[in-house]
Amino acid sequence: MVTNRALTLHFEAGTSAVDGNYGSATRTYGEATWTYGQQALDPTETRYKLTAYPGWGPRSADWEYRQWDTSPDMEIALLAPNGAAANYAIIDTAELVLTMVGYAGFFYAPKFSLTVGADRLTRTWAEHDLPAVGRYRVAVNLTFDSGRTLSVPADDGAVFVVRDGARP
Amino acid sequence: MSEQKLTLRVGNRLPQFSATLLDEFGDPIDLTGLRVWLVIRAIDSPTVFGEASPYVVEATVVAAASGTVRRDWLQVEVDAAIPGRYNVSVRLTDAATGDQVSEVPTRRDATLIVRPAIVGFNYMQDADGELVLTTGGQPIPT
Repeated sequence: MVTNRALTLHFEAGTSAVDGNYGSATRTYGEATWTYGQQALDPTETRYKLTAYPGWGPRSADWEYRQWDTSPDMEIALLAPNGAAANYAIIDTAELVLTMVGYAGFFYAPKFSLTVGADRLTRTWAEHDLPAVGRYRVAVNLTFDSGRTLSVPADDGAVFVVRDGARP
Repeated sequence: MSEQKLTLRVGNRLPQFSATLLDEFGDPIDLTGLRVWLVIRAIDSPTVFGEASPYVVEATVVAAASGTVRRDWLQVEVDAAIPGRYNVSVRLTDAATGDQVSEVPTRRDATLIVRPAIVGFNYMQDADGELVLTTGGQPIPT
């Protein structure tokens, strides 16, 4: 029973996969049909960040390329605030979105599919993937095996830079 | 305790709402015999998930003795979310009588931040070398 008045609410990371067995993965509640309870196929952390694999931490730009570059592959690590790696095994698909910033009147936000590996996400660039010089916000839209989606990072902390280069 | 923030992107069902309710000593509030309701109040917009503010929906007690509660967002909720800030609290009611016991936090220091969806597009270069959408038209900035 509640007995005092200075009560606080503390957001927590998602419960563990073990706790995911609480209730049911899909269950009706009341009259509505909706799911509740963490699913074992959902991530347990709420605040992942992106960084260049293998996760040395933020730099002035996390990834830097020249215009028209196709190498090296872009490698992305998903890290929890405590530095722990995400569980890549429960990721179904990953989509990279690069949003150019700092150019008024020109909106450029290409998307690319990523390969989900055991410990990283990888983009193998195609010939014309990086045609526009600029600074980009980096985000990854993740779809988990449960079907739920999560965009990482929640803020705009990851930076991708394309500098001018010679056209092949 | 510092202000508590949870950031959600429009259209994302993750991260879910997951919280521990604490008393003034930092100990978990025992939720035995209580029902819990998530209460969301709009700050920057007139509505919450397209509904009138405050938006109240029942949440789940995960572990009563640990004071942990949870709510999974519905897809229709997050699809209707408007970017902005929202106050979040959990209302506790007596499971037997329905009477309100308390609403946590007593200080409004829990905030849900909804940010725009991250949307990418497919581009190609036209004959002049200009970048254009493969589908035609102009993308909508997010």
